[in-house]
Amino acid sequence: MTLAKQIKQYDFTGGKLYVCQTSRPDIVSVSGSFLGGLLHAPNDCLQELLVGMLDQGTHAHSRDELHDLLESMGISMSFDCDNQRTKFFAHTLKDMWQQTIDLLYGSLTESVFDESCYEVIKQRFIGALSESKSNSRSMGRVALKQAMYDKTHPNYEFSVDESIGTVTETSCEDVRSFYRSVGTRGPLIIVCVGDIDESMVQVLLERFGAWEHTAKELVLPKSQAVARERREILVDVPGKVSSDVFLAQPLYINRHHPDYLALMIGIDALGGNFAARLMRTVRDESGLTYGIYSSIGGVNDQADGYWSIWANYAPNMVAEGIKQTLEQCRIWSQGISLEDLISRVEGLSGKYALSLSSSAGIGSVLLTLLEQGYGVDYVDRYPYELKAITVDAVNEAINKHIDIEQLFHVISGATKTSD
Amino acid sequence: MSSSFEKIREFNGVVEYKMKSNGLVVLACQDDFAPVVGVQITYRVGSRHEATGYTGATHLLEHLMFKGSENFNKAKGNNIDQFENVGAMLNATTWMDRTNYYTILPNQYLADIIALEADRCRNAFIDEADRQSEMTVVRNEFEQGENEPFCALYKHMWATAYQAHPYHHDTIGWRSDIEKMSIDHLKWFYNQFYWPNNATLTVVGDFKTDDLLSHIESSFGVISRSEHEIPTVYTEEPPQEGERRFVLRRPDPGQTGLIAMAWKAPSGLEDDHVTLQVLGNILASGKSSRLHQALVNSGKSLGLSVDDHPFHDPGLFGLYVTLVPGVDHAECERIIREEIEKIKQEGVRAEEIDRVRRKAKVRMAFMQDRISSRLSSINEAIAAGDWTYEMTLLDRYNKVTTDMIVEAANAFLVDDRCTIGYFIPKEV
Repeated sequence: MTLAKQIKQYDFTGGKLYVCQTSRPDIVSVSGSFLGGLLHAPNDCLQELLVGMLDQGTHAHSRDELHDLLESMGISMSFDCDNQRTKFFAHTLKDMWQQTIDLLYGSLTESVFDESCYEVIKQRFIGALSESKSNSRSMGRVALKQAMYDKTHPNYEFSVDESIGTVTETSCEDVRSFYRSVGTRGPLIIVCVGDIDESMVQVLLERFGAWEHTAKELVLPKSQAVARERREILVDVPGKVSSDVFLAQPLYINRHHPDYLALMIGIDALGGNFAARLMRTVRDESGLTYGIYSSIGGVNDQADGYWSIWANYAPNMVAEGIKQTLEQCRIWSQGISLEDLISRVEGLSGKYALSLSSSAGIGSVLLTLLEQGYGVDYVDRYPYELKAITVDAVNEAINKHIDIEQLFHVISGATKTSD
Repeated sequence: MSSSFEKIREFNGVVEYKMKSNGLVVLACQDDFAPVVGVQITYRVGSRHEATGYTGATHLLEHLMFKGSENFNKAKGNNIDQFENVGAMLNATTWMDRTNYYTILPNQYLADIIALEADRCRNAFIDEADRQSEMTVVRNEFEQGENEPFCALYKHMWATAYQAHPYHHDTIGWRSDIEKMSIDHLKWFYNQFYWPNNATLTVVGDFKTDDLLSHIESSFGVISRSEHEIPTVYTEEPPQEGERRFVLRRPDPGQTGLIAMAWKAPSGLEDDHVTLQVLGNILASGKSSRLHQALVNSGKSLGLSVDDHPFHDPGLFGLYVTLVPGVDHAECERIIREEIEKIKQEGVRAEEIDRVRRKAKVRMAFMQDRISSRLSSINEAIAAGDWTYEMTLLDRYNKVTTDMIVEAANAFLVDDRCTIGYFIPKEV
């Protein structure tokens, strides 16, 4: 039986529930998300502050009571957000299912936004932002995104100091008001996986059946990057003994573009893992770095993304590292072979099968695909779509979307050589 | 069952066999959730087997093990990385007490990966040209660790707390040893420790036991046990006499301070270590823990963690706290000490212990879900000295009482066993 046929779908007023019963005894997880992300908020930090407050107490339970209840029942519950969606996750043993659903729903809909709790969350948020200033990879990524995008693009990142300023000026009332208006109200996607039966499904539907949403107000405009001239940027991060190097370029396509899968396979052949070109050459043959990888980032069903290569080098190996990377990129951009294609597709398909080899993995894959706008059938269809990609399609996608001479270069960390 | 193996015991769904000819231990755990297997070989060698001049040898050798062996190599087009082209998730890790190589992959490749592990057990190239290119790779890994204030503080903690025992040095080794260690020394190290009688092969997933044992027999059966006794570590850390302190100052644009406080603890398999784990959970694990409430909920800390790992030899019970920028190190240290003193004086509540047990029960149930988690858990248990360690832990937690926790706090969390480290960011 296909995996899709094992997944039951339930429609309710506020969204859709997908349930996959597995043979793992006792364990069950519930994950989900709804429209309402960073880009829907009036400032770039508001939604993150909001999700940070979702486990800080409800009308029924103070923060400390809530944490004590969760941990004494062995319930793990967390909240997160990305540009578009607010996300939640909980896992538990099935004997605490009712309590898990009650506490999860309460946190999503009845959070109190206590002033003193907010001040702590705010200070920790500012502290974490400040801490990121000493992370050369993170600082390099910010510089890269600022170079590639203007402020209106979803992939633009504000500087750490700008974000600290925004958080400082954001009050508890700002977050509370936002929460009460649109902050937690979009159509739900919920995925439950594990040792779950019909009565447990009914518990969830009963609780979440009253979920209200304002989807029409939360539509995100489709966005596309404006081409900018390539730049080379140095970001000096004191106290570092090596450098993070990014080579990257905007792609101007999103997850649903016809070229997406072919391009993803091509970029995987360049630097997807140990067996890929960059690791075989720049690391394995030349010993220049511990790791070098290429990937597509910042892409979803609305926003166009970018592709990038990341590596870390000793300061005196940065120049040689970049030189060899570009040499390999130029060879690769001439086209991959049929043999390359077969091994990459086989590798990606096998990796996908591995990701479905646990209850948690099924939940994670299913939610991601549903969030990207695919139907349940796509969990089975994806490997076939990979296998349908031809070598010509990959090479045409590389040729059409990649220009090695137009890569942005960012060197972040120790920017001076010692010898 | 093949007559080449002796069945030793069966526990919690795992069957232990021993290969009669060479002493290889095999742990087989069937799980037909998906047509996937995880294969892991754990060598009972870690950085505790190193000394000055060849610190980092275990780890550098682990890297060289990916460079090829007699029958699996780049020239033949079947080097280990080629398994990624069928979707395998593979890697290796080295720590103080063990080295493990693991591959999780579609089950039709079970025989192939076992054959590869057998081949590199005794026929790895360990070549000078590979050492030269891999040395700089490892040095870059070292550098990336040095970039992390927490990582630097952790290294300093062990280097300060341990004077004689090789837990003194970090697994990655000192930079000069990484750079200058000879290929001859690495070959010597390989020939000392990489033998079936110093290894455990763990297989979790969808396989037939007879087929599995047959694959192991044909691959590992041709390898003899070592002619020498596997070297043991006899160095013991002398008792600590008085509190130790260190300060690590580095330029740090984040201006985020760290505090580490660690106490000499019993070795991982001892009952007192289990009691300390329960105590550690009550103190610092989760949002309802005492230190989370005292430090994080009060806005003084960005986060904290407890390191109560069960090491093979007496290790450290450590608390690590990240400070909110501007918060005073000494103030946080005082709060940590106050919370520990409260436990010594007033004890803990029974419901706090129940909470730890419940969390452990849930953690163990979810651990069964992923092959990678099960391999990792068994790997650490082998390193500690008993592969059933994690599987029996909940029963052992159930025996811990409030009195035992007070006794453990008074016995172990004392100044004479304590090392305190501050990471103080220099302004930039």
